[in-house]
Amino acid sequence: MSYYSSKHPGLFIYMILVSITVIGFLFFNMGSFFIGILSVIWGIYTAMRALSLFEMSEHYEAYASMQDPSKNNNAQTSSLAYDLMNRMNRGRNMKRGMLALYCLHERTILWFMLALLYTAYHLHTASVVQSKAALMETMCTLFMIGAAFWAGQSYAHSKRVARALSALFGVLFVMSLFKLRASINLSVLDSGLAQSGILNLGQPEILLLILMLYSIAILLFALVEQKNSPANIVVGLALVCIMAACHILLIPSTATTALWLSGWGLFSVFWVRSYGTQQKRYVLYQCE
Amino acid sequence: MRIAEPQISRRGAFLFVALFSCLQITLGFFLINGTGHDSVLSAQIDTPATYAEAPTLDEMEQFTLGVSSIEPAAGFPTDASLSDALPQEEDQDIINQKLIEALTTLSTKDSGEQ
Repeated sequence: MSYYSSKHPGLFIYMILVSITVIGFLFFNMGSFFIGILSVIWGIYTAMRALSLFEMSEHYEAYASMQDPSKNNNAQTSSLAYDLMNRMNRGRNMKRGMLALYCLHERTILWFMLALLYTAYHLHTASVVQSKAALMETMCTLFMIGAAFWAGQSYAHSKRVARALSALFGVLFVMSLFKLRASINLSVLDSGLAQSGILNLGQPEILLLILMLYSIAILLFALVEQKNSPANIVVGLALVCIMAACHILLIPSTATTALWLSGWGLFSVFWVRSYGTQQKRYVLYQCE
Repeated sequence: MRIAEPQISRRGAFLFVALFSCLQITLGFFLINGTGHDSVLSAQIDTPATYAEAPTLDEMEQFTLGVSSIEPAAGFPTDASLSDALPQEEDQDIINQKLIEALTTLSTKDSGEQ
């Protein structure tokens, strides 16, 4: 998983991992053993992805300074053309990878801080009724959702990859919605939103509400600031609203984890694309 | 949107992600090892769900007969020794008489002190 050898290192592994996790949570009764295995795999993947970004962040400047095809740089190679082509490809990959560093932006780190706050408060309130193993399972699943959200952001800067990821996450999200439509909590609809948990202060849901409001605020800020990708922003806002509605209506279970994972993964694509740079293409016209 | 962010903040973010992944791996290993579960596995406990059918009267009778036919190990009290240890009717009369005597002596002592 290095930008020296690949355009999008680890993308294939990420897509497979997301598919396995969502399908596992959706169709199989996942015990703590399998959640543990998935958590370890996600943790290793996150560490590897962070290392590949760290490599580029720390070595790109030194590498870019070596791009000058001078005699000194090519003295040890027998094939000058091959060496040049190889170095040009590597340089192109590295430039692409620089955009992936947006996943370490302050707005994303703040999102993670809020998510960790929600996790900590959720565990604090649930520690009275749940066992230690159940709390660790909850923590692992929340960390998996966070890892999927972060890694999705690191890939979605590329237009082609963003399309592939949105297609995959979209299919998984719709599949989760269809699978979970049977577990809608009708009592919430009967009693109304005023009596549901999301509007009661002092519960962990209020922190989740803050997290969602923060996501909406970031997208609205992008809409006001740039005005170059309103479609991504509108879809992102709609997605957050759907997830909030699902959180209120669905009965919490292990299968709803699949919905959150695919939903936040899909949202990561629109989150990054809403801040996407507007590429300017200059065309030189040669007049005769 | 800026690409060239300060190196220090970027390193802090990397550290944050590294800690996050380490915590995730550690929790995963804890779950794999079964930490946090009870010491006795649930499969080893006969819960009511494990009984497909309720035992019949004959089965219950055989069970009680089997229990009563078991001889206690050496050192454990038998039925006969337990019945000997329990107070008999004659013993009970003696106990009652002694109690009455003790109470009367106590009451006479109290009246003398006053």
